Amino acid sequence: MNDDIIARLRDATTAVGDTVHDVPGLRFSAAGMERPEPRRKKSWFVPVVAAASVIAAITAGAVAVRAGTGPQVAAAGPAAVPKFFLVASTGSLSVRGMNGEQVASVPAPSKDEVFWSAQAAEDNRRFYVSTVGPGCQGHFYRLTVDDSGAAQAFDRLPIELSEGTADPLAVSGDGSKLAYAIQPCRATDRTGGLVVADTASGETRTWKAEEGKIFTNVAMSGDGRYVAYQYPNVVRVYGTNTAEGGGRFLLTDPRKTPGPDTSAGGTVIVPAPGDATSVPAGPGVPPIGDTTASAPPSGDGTSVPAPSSGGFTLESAVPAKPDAQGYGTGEGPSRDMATPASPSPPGRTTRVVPPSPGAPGAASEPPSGPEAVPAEPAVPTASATVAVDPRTGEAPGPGKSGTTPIPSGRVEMAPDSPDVYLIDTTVGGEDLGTSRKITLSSEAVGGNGGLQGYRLNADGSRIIASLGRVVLTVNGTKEKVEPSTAAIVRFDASDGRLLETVYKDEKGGMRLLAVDGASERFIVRRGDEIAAVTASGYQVLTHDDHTYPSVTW
Amino acid sequence: MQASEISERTSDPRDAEDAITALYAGHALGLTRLALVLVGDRESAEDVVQEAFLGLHRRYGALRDPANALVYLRSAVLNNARTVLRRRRLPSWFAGAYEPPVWSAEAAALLGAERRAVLKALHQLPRRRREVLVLRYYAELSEEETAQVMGVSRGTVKSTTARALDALGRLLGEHP
Repeated sequence: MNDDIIARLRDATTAVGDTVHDVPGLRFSAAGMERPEPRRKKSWFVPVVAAASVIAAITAGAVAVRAGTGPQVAAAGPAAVPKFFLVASTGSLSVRGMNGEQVASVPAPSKDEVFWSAQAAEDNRRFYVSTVGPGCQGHFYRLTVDDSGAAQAFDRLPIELSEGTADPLAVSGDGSKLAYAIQPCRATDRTGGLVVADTASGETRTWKAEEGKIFTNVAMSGDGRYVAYQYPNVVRVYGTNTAEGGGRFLLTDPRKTPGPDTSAGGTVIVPAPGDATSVPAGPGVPPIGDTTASAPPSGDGTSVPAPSSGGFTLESAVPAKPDAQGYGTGEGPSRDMATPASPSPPGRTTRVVPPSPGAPGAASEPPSGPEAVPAEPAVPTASATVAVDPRTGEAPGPGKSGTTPIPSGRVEMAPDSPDVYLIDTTVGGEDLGTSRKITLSSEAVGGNGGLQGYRLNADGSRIIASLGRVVLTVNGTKEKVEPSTAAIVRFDASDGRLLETVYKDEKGGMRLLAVDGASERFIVRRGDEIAAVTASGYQVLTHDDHTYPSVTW
Repeated sequence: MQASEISERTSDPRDAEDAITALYAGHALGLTRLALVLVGDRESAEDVVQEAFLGLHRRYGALRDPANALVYLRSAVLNNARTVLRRRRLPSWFAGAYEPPVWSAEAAALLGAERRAVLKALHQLPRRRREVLVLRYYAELSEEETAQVMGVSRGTVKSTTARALDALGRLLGEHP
């Protein structure tokens, strides 16, 4: 009995203690010791200590491992408690304090070169960003901020990025190495690569994907030794119904047997955009007309189906850059389906899914064929197959230009594949066959949902993952996350065993965007909320209105 | 330690400052967290810790063993926290304003209902019982260390801990 009381007591007091991450400095003066700054009037409690000059000042760099003043208190470590987070939008980088207020901003290198994917070193002072420029030529930059968050340096790194987009991006704890997936830009090039680069020398090591495959969801352990990656989840459009009050179609994993359970009533399951989001150039993805789509690294993007006779419209809050069209490839800032199989860089675009030939009223029978699975018979509406080309986000057929301005309905984001591959970069060669496959279960959320992003801890022994089901109820520009069990958990990277549930609530799935150096504080996206999550709770940092920036700390 | 050694050590205040600086770097965060658990708001907790270091600075030369400095600091934190809590029972114009405890419903800290309940129950305990639980199970001090910090015998720590756990369990509805 007492053990339980003690456990609850430890948990509660630790949660309180952990709300303090730093302490003010201590000052000595010629007359003794003094406070740096009196913060408020205290009439008699504080003895007045006169001070003429400051002899020494320190800032407490101690990091308490967990709690208390006993043996758990460790010396200062390299992993800083985050004071800032970075919001990488296409046009600028914004460094913000924990209250969400901007403390520094850096514009994009040029109007043609936009920021894409961002990650931070564990000191919370160096941020690494990839860009995409004309001709799909991008670069890497490092933003260094001081203790007040002010930008100290913005340097271009000597890493040459061959054609393609570096996305997503991962960085080692000390910032010495980057890992990223290369997403091909050209329609004719459908093979991706996995790269580890030295940020000082620019040297790179590349693992080429099998023909027709790409990588996504790249993560790196803090020590830079292990790199984790995934292959995009594959989803299939198997039926479309257009009912009164909302569009209805379903994309689902073709490995599963479609059935009533695969689609909740009125739910639209779409390939989930990544932390940054858009449909990746899906190598191996059939051309337009096929009904299999490659799901991008998922996130809670706002792909919104629009019900109407005209079709479905997915609109970004940010106007498309006229010369930056393309498809997004994962965790970069652009989040919307894009247009163009061209060497142009990805950018924010508007996705228009026109009605299929069998749209409203055109077909009364469920679609057939291997790609088309009948929609739920309980829905007394016309149904038809919508073939969505993942590159363009468009379906063939007449009426492509038809759009509807007010989307509404329910959207479920397909989770990431549960399979994560881990490779030890100290092993020579370019053989991905040495990778270890780890399958992550969603038991922590009762099997309801799946992987919504993951990261590695400092030594690669743990996989920190977000689990849950992301279902959005969309009404115009407003979206609401449907309540469901969501959790941040730790898995054993050696065997995929669930070790610990760090945080859990019932407010709906959340996309994991970033983890701090200590692997204890997480940035997630839930609907339009960008929030910090720790074992102690969930706190909104800022809101994002459909621009889907890359956010990190 | 001989009196001459004390005199020698105190003759150079920079030695004391270096030692206290090192102690601050190593323990200020942990002590502030301990104080926060005791007093409930961060500003008071930081003040409590600053006062503790201030006191140590004043008395450093009188310490018989520098290894006892941490024990002194913990004791000072405990004493200063008591002072803060006592003062809060005074009329508000005298006690001054302070933030609501982090476990109160008004606080911005994200703790959850369960943790808030535990903390509220903890703070309903008599002072000594509350302190012994915090030192034993939050600061992870041994019975001996807790006894040193509280200035009581080890036996008192043991018996007080048992009674405190029992009382806390009753408050939380786990004990009949």
